[in-house]
Amino acid sequence: MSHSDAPTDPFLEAARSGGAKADAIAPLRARAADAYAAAGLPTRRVERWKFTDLNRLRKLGFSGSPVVEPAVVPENALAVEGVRLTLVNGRVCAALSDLDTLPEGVRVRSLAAALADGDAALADRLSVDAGVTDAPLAALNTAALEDGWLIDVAEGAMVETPLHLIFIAANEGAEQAAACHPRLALTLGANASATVIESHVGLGAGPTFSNSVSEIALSRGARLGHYVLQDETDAAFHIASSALRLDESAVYDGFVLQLGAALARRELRVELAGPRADCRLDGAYLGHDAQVLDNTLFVDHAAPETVSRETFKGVLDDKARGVFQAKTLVRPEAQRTDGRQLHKALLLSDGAEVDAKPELEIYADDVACSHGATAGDLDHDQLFYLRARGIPEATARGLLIEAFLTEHVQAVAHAGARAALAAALAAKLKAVEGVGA
Amino acid sequence: MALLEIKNLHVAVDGTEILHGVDLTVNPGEVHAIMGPNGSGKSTLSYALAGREGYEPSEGEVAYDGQDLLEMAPEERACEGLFLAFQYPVELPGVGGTTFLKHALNARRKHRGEDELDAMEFVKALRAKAKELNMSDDMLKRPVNVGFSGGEKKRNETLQMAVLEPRLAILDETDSGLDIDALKIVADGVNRLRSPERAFVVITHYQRLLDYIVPDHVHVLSKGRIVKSGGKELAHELEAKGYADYVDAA
Ligand SMILES: Nc1ncnc2c1ncn2[C@@H]1O[C@H](COP(=O)(O)OP(=O)(O)OP(=O)(O)O)[C@@H](O)[C@H]1O
Ligand SMILES: [Mg+2]
Repeated sequence: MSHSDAPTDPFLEAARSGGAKADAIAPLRARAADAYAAAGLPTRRVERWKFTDLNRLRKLGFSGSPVVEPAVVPENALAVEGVRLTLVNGRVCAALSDLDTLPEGVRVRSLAAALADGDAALADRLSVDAGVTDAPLAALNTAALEDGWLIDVAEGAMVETPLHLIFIAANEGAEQAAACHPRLALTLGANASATVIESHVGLGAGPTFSNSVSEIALSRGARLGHYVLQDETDAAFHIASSALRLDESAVYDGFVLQLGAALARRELRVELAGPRADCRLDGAYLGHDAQVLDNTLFVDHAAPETVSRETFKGVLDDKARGVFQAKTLVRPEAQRTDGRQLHKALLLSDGAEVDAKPELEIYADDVACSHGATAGDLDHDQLFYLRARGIPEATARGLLIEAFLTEHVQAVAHAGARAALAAALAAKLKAVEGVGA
Repeated sequence: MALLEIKNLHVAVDGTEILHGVDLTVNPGEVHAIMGPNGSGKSTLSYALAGREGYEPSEGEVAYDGQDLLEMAPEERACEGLFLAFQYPVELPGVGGTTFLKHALNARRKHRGEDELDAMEFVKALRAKAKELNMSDDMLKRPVNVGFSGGEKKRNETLQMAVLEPRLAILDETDSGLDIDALKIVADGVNRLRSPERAFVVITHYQRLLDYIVPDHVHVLSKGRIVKSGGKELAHELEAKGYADYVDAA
């Protein structure tokens, strides 16, 4: 067993008790609990976890998460116009959710309510591991899940107003670490279009572990803009496992900005299942102190003429670590695939580190694929040019760091999300690097 | 008091000595031209004066307005009124031109104990200066020098100079790459700034610029030494005969 050196798995009990629950998804829970028990919390001996060490998480004593009803959304959540749907410690917070003003064509249900109703269709909508093989943490979510959102956008619906999903990991001063397992199941009907914005934030100074799973499916011709901020507290562990399936000609435009948490790993698995499905998976991150920020992507080109674009940019200071693992698989039937990966990191201190592992696995012969990764210090000529104009060194560095990330955020297609992400980035840069007006 | 006094300046770059003892005195109100063959050390001198990393002098002294220039950080030199127009202006992707200049100007104002300009005032002043140099508002908003033509970059250097109003401006081949009209525009920009308090060191290969910016002194830098100094007629002589006489003498 791979975790023989760690006899006490902090989540085994939660998985077992969740797995024993007799509700509408009991068989799913039981399988998920078994899957978690068999694998346990991943160690660095597992290939896909080679660069990200969960030992700090393993050592925290975990309880369930307290029921918290905050009066307001934490102010570091994205400032966007949209319909708020808030989960606090994985549970629906009705007071901070605009369930009465849902846009036309959008159906939203709480997962807890659906479970209570004994909705038999649930077992088909959720899966053990969100399609990610060998994903014990996704299985843990399934075994232990309590609540979350079931969101369906009707066929042909053109939803203008963004849905703003707010995930709050709350632990106000408790010594015990609080774990929660938020869940999202989102579908877009054929030719529907929608914008989903996510803010992952924290409340209180106690340690938290947010272990979320999202399952997103886009039917033929559907379009989803999906913009995510992760800015949890510095005592937070954030694991997000997302599975995305795109049918023919569906278009996904995604951007992830990771700024917070002690350790965060966002793992995304994309299946381009229909011809001409097109996904853009972009992201940026800013790490300082001893933060670990991990973006792990897997894109499966399973149909012809599919397109994937991945551009990630990261800035790491102090002893922060960045991880970028991106694998693009092109199946034999996926001819005329266009897949591109790019990762650029700025390392601001000797202690900062980045592990970038772009990978292409290609079984079709008529494809255009590329990958690239760069990592380095700020450009000395640029720094000197700024200083030669009187700009103090710290400000000059700040301007260049800001430029490196802001340039990327400014490319976000959705104007509201773009402005909100840029503001979140600017606030963080100001707080940690002393940059900005 | 001299504004700039360079004595016996030696500069090595990557272990190779490039300047072998340069002496130069620039008084307020003067324009000095430095000419000399490619590779003679003109840009090296300008970098050493601006404080570029790797260009720290191994020997010699530089007094700027009575202070030890070599003790000062590059940004301090700039805030004290030293300006270098780069031979090769640097591109700054993602840094907007207006933001850049606002930071630069406010750093200087702060250094002098003046209030920082508010954004509106600044943009107004900047637009006026840009117009004098025939630069569009669009160029001000774009990231600094990114995608600019060679001539546009040089004009942008001149704009920065006009905004920062230095006491000592070193122009390193600011005329290279400029068309005839742009050359006049840039020269006018320099002449507008000329005053009894300010001085200019103009590095150039061409007499043509010196027809517009008439120098008080002309120096020939060859193989890391000033081998000849004279009045403005020296530039004409060089234009006619080349450097042969002085290069051999060096
Ligand atoms: N890193 C370096 N290592 C060694 N020699 C260098 C280095 N950088 C520059 N040099 C040399 O220093 C000399 C002076 O260069 P500099 O750029 O100062 O010349 P310049 O007079 O400005 O020439 P130009 O008229 O072509 O602009 C050149 O011979 C150049 O090759
Ligand atoms: Mg030169």
